[in-house]
Amino acid sequence: MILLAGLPNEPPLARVASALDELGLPYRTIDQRQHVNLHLSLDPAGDHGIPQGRLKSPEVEDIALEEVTGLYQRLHSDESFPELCNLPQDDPARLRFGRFVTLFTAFSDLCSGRVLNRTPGMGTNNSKPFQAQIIARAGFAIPRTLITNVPGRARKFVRDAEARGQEVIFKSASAVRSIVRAVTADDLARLDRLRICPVQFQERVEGRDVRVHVVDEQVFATRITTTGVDYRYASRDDGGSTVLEPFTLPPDIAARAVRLAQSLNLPLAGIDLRETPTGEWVCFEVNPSPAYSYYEANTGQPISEAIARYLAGY
Amino acid sequence: MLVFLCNPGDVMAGPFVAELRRRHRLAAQIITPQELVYAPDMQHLLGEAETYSAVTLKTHGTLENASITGLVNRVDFLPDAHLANVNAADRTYIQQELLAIWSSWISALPCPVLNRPTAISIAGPVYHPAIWHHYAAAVGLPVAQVIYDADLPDPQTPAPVHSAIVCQGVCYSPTLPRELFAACCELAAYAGLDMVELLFGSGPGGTVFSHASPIPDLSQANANLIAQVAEIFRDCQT
Repeated sequence: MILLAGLPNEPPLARVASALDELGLPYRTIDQRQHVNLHLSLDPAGDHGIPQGRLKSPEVEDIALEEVTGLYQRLHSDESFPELCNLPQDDPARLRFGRFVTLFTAFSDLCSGRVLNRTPGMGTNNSKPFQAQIIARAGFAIPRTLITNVPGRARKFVRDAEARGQEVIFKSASAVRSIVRAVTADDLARLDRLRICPVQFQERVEGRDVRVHVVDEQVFATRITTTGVDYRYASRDDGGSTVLEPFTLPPDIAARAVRLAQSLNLPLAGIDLRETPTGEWVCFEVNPSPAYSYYEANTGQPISEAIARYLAGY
Repeated sequence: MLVFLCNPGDVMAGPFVAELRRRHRLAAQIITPQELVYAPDMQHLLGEAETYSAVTLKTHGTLENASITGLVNRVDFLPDAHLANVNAADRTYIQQELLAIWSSWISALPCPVLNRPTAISIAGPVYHPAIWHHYAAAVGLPVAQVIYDADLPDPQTPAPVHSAIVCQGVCYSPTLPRELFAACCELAAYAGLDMVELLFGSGPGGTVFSHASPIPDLSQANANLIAQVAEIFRDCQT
């Protein structure tokens, strides 16, 4: 049985549901908006190494967890639900919601079927410098990066980059507030705030953005032409524009992308690459829960179909 | 320098480190996460031919990544007392940043590290109790029958009556039946932990797995475990 879990009308989940419909593959959907009526029990020791359990939802028949052969999950935190986000952290409704998500996630890690994606792979994006080390080991170049709490070191890093004609950006090291900004003169004037927490500075890499979605061993590359520092926010921030087009990666780069996704334990991955004017391929980060639908909607690349086929065991 | 990264309250790390120094002649030092997080100077440089990291501590001066010859990681959280006056949203953000930065900094050390951090846990791999339970059953350790239910508090784990410390494929316990040692080592390997304490309780049919900790109680450490840790790091001393 294929299970989709999250918000059914969220585009990534909705597109996989449509693809499963078109392929004639049966599936069940767990609507997280019905969280009050979702019930989950799990026997982790299970039977012959297979965890057993029941998932009860008002909209579908009870689901035997041991029968789940494919799972695509895009679970949201309680902050995404208006009826929960303003409640105190220790409110029983909020605690129950958290227990459900935690237990469902534990099940997904133990599920013997195909899962997009499991916790160990999902976690690497919580530390971008940590993930960058794995990216480098996979053979991609990574941007020159300094994390420091010393204003003088940060200023020197910026000066050295400028001397080479490079701009410097800063961005969070964790997955929180992950918006990229160029370092300005105002920023350099308030670097004393670094004392409370180190900050990640990165040399801006010139070149063409390519977003790569890996689904198992299939690769979908999308070239992005933008006017912004961060194409995801270009239109919103700068009144700029972004154009997406299908792109064919050199075979060795495509193979490297698959290896990187595999080394991160991510059967589904969104890899941010930039091809420099000298032909070098730099990788910025790997998104373990990619909103691939944005790229599919703009290019027609059949990513949701690939996900559906993967979940079905093809 | 062999670094024992320990919380200030980790009182049994002191005698363990003292034995490493006295009996095994290792240059081992205890460093607390407070010393790292409140360090006046830290840097972590990526994207060069080799990653370079350094930290200047008030107690031990500047430590470059190449001068740390080994690290035993016994830290499960990073201090945040310096954030007491920061608003809640920014405090949460900074806590996440500190975890992301220091987990990367420690992971990048080229020397042997017992329990290298992950991107989401400074202590190394962490698992929900249900996953520990599954792994324990999978490797053949006796487990109690438990059901986790999202509508109920998590089941109580059996009160510990036996403890075993596993360090890189060797199991130490004065009381646990020896026939369980191999499965204990397999469980530690399954979990991806170099060093772990496994606790066992009593069930209706005898000993059953209870829970695990990536920060073993070193008061349980015997001379053989100390000698093994010394051996792991001996070749790395400069």
